[in-house]
Amino acid sequence: MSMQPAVFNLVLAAGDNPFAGTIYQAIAAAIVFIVVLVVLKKMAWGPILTGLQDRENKIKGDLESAEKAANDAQSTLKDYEAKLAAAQEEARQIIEESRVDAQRVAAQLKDQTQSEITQMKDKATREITAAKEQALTELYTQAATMSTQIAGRILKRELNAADQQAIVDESLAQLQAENN
Amino acid sequence: MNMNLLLNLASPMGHVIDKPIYDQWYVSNATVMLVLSAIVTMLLIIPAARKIATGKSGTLEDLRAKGTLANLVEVICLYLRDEIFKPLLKEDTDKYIGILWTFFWFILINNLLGLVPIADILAMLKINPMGDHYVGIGGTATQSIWVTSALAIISFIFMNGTAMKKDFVGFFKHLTAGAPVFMWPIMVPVEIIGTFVKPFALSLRLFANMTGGHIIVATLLGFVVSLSIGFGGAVGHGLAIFPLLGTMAIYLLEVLVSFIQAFIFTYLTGLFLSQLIVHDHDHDHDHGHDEAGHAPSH
Repeated sequence: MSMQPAVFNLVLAAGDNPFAGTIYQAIAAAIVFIVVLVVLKKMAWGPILTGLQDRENKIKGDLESAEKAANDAQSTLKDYEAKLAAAQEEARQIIEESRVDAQRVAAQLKDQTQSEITQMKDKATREITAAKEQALTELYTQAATMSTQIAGRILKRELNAADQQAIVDESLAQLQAENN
Repeated sequence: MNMNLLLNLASPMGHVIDKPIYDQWYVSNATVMLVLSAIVTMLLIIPAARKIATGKSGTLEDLRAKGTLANLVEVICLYLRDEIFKPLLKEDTDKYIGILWTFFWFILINNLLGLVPIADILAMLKINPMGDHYVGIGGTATQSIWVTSALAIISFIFMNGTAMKKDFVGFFKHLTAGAPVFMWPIMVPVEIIGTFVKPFALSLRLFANMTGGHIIVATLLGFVVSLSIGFGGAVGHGLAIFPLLGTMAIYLLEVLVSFIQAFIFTYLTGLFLSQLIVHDHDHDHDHGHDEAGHAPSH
């Protein structure tokens, strides 16, 4: 019957043995495999393995040197940080010293100015006193002279110069004594 | 139309299993595909290796994998080495990674080439190198139990040979699994059985996965042809779309399976090896005889 598909016949017919083959197939497989193994070992696996190992070593080396570089950088950084801290401390000290110096100088200047002012004041006071005394003396002299003249006129008698001088001197001495 | 290609066969098995050339098993589809896979593997890996290898220009460019192909190969090799085998084999990884890489790539290329319908393409192009388009080329070498057994035996020799070479006395001490002396009559036979079960499981797993997947693809394709011809016309072709979509889905799954199986074979080889040679684990636990149990079963 032509409708009957051949594939439905799953019963193993003669020659359909799934274990078909002989020891020759096994020998062929062994020989071929060993040839492939030997050829590849010589021409492929060696170079591939060396390539992979070289790369691994390179990566390992690079990692190690990177780590070393990082450590170096770290220690350098620490150095710089220490130096920076020292410099900052130094700067702080310099500023502090300057401040103290400035305060000292300012105080000195202030003292100096103060003493100059005091001197000037004293000098002025002395000059004023001197001027006052001189003015008073002149005033007394003038007043005495005028008083004598007035007195002379009152007495209608002309005092001579020597008398007049004697009276003035006497009055002055008396004034000064009173004044003191 | 080349649909009769598939109809030539009595069952989907016929499309899948290995066949001798000119009725002589000295050479078969499997052996032809093995050689083809070997050539493809070497043509893929060797040029890539040149570009992954350290260059000589003295710059950082030397350490870079150059080109798509080199990066493709490198990303897989690097993953296997660093993520999969380094945790297992520790500092010995680079010593054994060569054969593990070879297992992976060789099995992977075998699996993937098996998914290329070489025979059918040649038939469509009316090229018939062997006189019969179902014989001589096409198919998956790794779906032959003979091929997978050979690979598993190599894996077995590699694992146990390496372990014996590394620590001869330790290898035999391992058979006691660190159990007290009165347990030895049980432990030693179990460990010895385990030693032989491991490669057996490796070979059977790869064989069964590749064969099973291909049978499903062939069966579904058979439905496509049967429906098209059986019903004919629009109805037959319309119905045939469904098994065709199924075929595509299973085919894509098979691509995934190709990678997974190549990986599992390689991974288990590395894992078993690590259990034999890496001794920094707790000796009281029963390593060695339950691998087949906790191995990822696909």
